[in-house]
Amino acid sequence: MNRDEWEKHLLLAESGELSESDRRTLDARLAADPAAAAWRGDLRRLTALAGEALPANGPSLAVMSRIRAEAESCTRRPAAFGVPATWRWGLAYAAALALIVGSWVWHQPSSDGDRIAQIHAIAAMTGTEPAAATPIPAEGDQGERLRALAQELLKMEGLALDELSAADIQAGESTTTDYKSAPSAAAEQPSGSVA
Amino acid sequence: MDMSDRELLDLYRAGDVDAMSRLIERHRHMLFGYIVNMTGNPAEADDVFQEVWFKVIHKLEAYRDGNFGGWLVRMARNLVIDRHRRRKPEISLDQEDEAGRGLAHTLAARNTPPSAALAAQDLGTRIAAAVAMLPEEQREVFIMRVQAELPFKEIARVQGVSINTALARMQYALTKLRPLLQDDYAALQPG
Repeated sequence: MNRDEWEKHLLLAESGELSESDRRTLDARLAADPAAAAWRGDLRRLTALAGEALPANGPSLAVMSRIRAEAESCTRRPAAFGVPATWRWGLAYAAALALIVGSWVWHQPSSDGDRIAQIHAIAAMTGTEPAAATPIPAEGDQGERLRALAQELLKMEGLALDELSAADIQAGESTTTDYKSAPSAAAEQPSGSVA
Repeated sequence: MDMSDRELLDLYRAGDVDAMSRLIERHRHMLFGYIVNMTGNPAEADDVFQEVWFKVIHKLEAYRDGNFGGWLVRMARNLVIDRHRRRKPEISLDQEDEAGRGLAHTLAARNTPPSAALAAQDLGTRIAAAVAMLPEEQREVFIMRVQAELPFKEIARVQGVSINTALARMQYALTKLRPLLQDDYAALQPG
């Protein structure tokens, strides 16, 4: 252990931060090296002298009184929602997110009729006014309701579905896609006609 | 049995104002000692001391388990640096004078001119002047260790350096202080 090391170990020993094994090594050094022992004595005297001599009279009574008053007033104030400050932002974000999601869900069409109304509204905005809406049965056969809905959508695309059966509609997306994407192809369908 | 700082803080949170008073009293000497030796101005030290405790009162939740005294010193240190920056925004705290000393050193020493103080008979004034003549980082380590009685681990944390660097700064400070205080020091030697 060189001088720099034992000086550092001495400082750590004086502040109570030296490990037990290092302390044993240091004690052996102090016992064998008068210079190390003298340095420890100097360190203790110097720090004691400085500790007493450096100014530290304490704050004024006025300051102590103001701090006490502030401490008292704060214990009377209720904590904000009783929630730690670090959580408050998280809660605010969660509330904002819930508001956005709730608003989106609220504005979703709740029935086929609403959906048709929404389609008409979009069509009106885009200048592609569709034909008068066909009433969609509120209840009854599911196939019948789907047929009415599909008919309405095709009307908006400029097509008709007079001859298409509910079963055909239910057959899947491909049927509708054919009608949408290729009016000429739709005309070739045996049971379809272009409006 | 003395309550820990954490226990006193919890009591204060529960509405016990006396717990805060006990906490302030416990750390009053070391905190004020640190501040007044860093600012060199008792009036300014009063302001900083008050500001630190107001922060403690209003930001209790910011305290995590650890050395409460170290937390206080960190806040005080930041406030002292902020005040110096506000006062002289065009001058860096790191800017050194002709003797290679930082602004904080100059501010700390301004009320006790070293030459006049060293000539004075008052032991306290001479020691304070000798400490004020140390380079800023060394003086801060010395004050944190001797007055605030912070462990080196905490001093290193406050200064944002390794514990080895904090120890080296203390070694340099002691090496410089010993000859400066030779007369007083010699008087203490046995024989």
